[in-house]
Amino acid sequence: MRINFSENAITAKVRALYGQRITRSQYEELARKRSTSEIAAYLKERTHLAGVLAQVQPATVRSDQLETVLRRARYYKYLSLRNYASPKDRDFYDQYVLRVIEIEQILQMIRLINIGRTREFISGYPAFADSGLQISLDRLARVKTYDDLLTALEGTDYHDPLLRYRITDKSQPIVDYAHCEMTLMNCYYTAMKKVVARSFTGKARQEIEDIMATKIALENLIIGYRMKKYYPQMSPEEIRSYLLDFWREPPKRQVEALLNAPDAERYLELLRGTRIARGLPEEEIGSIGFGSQSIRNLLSERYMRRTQNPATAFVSHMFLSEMEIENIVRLVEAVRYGMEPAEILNLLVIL
Amino acid sequence: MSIEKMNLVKVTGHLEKMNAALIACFEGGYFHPELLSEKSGGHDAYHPYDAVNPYLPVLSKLGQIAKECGTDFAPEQTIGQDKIEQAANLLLGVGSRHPASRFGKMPTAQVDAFRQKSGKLFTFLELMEKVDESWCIYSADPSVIEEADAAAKAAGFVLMWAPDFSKGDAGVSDFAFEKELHQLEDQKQLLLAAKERGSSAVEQLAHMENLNVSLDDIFACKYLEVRFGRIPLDNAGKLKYYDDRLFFFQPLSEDGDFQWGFFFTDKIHVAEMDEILSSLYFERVYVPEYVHGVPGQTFQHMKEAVEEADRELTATDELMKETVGKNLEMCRILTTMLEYLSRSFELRRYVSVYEDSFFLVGFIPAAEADGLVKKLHAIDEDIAVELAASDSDKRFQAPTKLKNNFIVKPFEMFVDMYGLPGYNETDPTSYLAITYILLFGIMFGDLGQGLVIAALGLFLDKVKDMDFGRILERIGLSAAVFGTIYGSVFGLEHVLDPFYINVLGLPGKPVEIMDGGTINTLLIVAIAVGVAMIVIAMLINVITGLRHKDWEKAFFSNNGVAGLVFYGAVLAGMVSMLTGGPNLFTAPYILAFLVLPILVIFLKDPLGKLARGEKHIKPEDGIASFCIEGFFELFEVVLSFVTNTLSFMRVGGFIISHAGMMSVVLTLTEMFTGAGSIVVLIIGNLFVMGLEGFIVGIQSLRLEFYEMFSRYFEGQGTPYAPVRMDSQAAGD
Repeated sequence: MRINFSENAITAKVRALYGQRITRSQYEELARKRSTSEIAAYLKERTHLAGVLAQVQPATVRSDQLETVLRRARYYKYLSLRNYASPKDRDFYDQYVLRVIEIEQILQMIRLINIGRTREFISGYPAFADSGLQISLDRLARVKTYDDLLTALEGTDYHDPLLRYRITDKSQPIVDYAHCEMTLMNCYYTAMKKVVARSFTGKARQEIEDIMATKIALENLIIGYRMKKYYPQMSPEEIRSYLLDFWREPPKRQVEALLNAPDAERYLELLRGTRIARGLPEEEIGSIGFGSQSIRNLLSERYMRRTQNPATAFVSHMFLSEMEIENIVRLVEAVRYGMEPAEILNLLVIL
Repeated sequence: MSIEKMNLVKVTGHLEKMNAALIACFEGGYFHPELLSEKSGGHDAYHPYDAVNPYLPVLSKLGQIAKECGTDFAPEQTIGQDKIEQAANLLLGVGSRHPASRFGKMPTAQVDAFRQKSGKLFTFLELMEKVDESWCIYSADPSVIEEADAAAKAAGFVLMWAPDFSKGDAGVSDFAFEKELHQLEDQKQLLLAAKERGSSAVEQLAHMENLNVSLDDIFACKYLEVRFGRIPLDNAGKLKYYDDRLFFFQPLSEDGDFQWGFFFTDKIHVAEMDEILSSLYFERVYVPEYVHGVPGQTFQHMKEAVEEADRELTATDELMKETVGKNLEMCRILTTMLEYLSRSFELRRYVSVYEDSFFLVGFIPAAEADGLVKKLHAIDEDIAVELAASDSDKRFQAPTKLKNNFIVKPFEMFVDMYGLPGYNETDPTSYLAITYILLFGIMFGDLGQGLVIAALGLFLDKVKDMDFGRILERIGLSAAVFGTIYGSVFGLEHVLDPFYINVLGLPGKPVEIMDGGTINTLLIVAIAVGVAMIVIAMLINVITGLRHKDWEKAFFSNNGVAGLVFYGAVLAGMVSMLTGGPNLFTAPYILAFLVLPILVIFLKDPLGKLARGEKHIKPEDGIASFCIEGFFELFEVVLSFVTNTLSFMRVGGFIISHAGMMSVVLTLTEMFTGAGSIVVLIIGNLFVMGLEGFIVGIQSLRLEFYEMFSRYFEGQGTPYAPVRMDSQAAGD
């Protein structure tokens, strides 16, 4: 068997990147800033993002532009890391990153179709990633209606699942976004399941499957909680239709009990008894609506520090870098709304 | 080979004499001050002297000027300490009202006449006398300073600085030459602004270099709106989606992730275009009004303008330097004087004040005490100096200053690493030095390698002045001596045989390490050495305990007499059994020398309390808890006697391992011939010296710290840290 030593570089590089992450004290400094420009200037001068933001002019940069620059840098980091992976495993790295980009773009287009502002797609789509995707962002950018979208997605894995949400009743021109999202995420996880089975064996496969299964289970818990909180009249069957397909079925009785919870409070109480929730600290269960907190805990604590498996390290890195971008975006918005530093810090996920 | 005797000194005097007293105390560099406020917890009538150092802002200003002009005001000449002291009084005044003072120069011929005029109206001081001109200070009450100024002017006094210390943090009064300097600084700022403007225009024009149309023509268009700037490359590609809109893009150049260029549209569609461009993160750059013509040509002009600004900046810098250069002497004199005053002012933080008296307390070596008293009384007979025993005031812990001869002195480094001995503790340096040298020598015995280590030590000692080098010298020589006994030179075990046979008349080398019989002897000797060292360590503990009248430590502890009896009895019994002597472990022997000492160690706490005359000897946590704790402690005590003793087997082990490693080197050497074998021998020796030198050095230190220090040494002392008032700048 040929051992690919270069793959170990992924784990080493990911750990090094983790070491450079924005620290709590830096977030505290950032939360005290008063404008996007000040935040951009701080990120450019005092954090590991200096190189990424070298060409950005803090005085004129806009928040969405800042986010695009950070996302592009994250994408290029993925490209550089995947180079170290063995050719057999690269499929996993590509699917993990590119499928998410595709789904995000399709969902963005559905949102814009629903509000009739499809042209806004042009400025925001990640042109840098176009070459690697199975969908054409260029065709997507010219979409005006849901039918156009289906035409643009012809020949891709997304076309057939989305077909059923085509609008037939012209008096109800809104596309069922929530079900589209659930369908696309199911597409994603189905594809990932296949690629994981194809690429990994033994402990590596077990780790990746564990991450994926836990992530799906947590996402379903979060969906369930939000439905209970914001749509209390929704029936258990309706809620079930929004849930993702589990990789590992949780005990049926627990799911039934959760779905039948009379309200969000009771839902949380029942949640505390589940196997997944048992590993989470109490404050994270309390903030389950926030979602990412729990997943952060799962990925960073359980895997980033201990794993020897490059794919696991890669997944952890992609997740944490996403977390960092989300933090910066939240920071910019919170600062713009003039929130107090202490309040801002509560919104962030800091390791 | 002890700890330096210290005296506690308390100095009290009138505030006016404080500065002189401080300098007398600190100029020798042997006074270890104590902060009274920290020790008394603020309950004392005295309060810390907390005035702000008034000299620092002036010094900082002078430093800033020196930095800006690329020079330094290091003193070339010195000023007498007494003159500086007088100058301080003129500058700050005595009492609460600040005097008005003047600093400048005066023809030397006029000095005497002017001095005679001084008295009631003003006070005068000639700070430094020169052939033609002298540097002087005079001060007067602000109400009469104008009269004094007139007299000074008549005497040819040139004012350089009118110090005003009354402002505090608000600022420092300007020096006379600063007016000129400020003008030059303003000019420099203007030039810098012009340069920055020019540079930014150059940067923008660089992106338009390919444009062969005059900018004036473009911006003069009546019906067209123009935007110049940069758009992210990713988004430049998205402009194709707006082909149906009425605007077009003229790309000019690429710069990293950005495309630079012009956007054109008509006046009607400009708002729409701006919105689209904004959504594509287009960054508009305003072309400055002063940029005209064809960019290629203008670029050249602007570049030249920037270069011209650069030249002028250099010239301005030179002028600034020249201005300061003319006043260099004054700046240096002021720096010298103020630095001295500032340093002596800093010493005031050790002083406590009550009304108009100051109080200073600290420790000095007993040998220096009389000298200090004389010095202080020379300043003023009224300064009260109280010399007392180091332990007379329980608030202050006397600092430890180790006093050792040159042979063991370098080993203070190791003692310091563990912790300084308390003032009343025994200084372990000598014992550590002797045992360390011995242990290292025994373990690393090799004549050749020992001498190499000693030579390396000599190099580090003489060239780098390192204590570690001095330690290497000593342990290297020890290794050489033991190497001679083992007959080992760079691992060659029989080179010295002729020396033993022909010179010493022995039948061969005295010790053959790799011999089966020798190995056993070596291990037994190693343990014997260890036993001796442990017993000595315990004896030191007993002596220290007796000296401090700490009976618990001296008699009842596991390292006291009780432990010593137990350890000695077990060893005596064992040795007697192993050497075929009588079995000493009889019932009375066991009861008297094993059980009784163990019982004493078990009850050391209550026995200690009894010995101290305390009435409540009952354990605080209850009898049960005391018994359980005591049992485990005893278990640990007995176990540590065994492990500590056996630990010394490593000494024998390393002798054997050293010889073993060298025999491997020699085997490798024999595999080569000629130069190759010499190279292998050298590399092998270097490897063994490096690797084993480290290991043996560390192991010896481990034996010192864990097996011996833990028995008699606490290392809780306060380091002796005298403060030195460096009066060199004042040049006395």
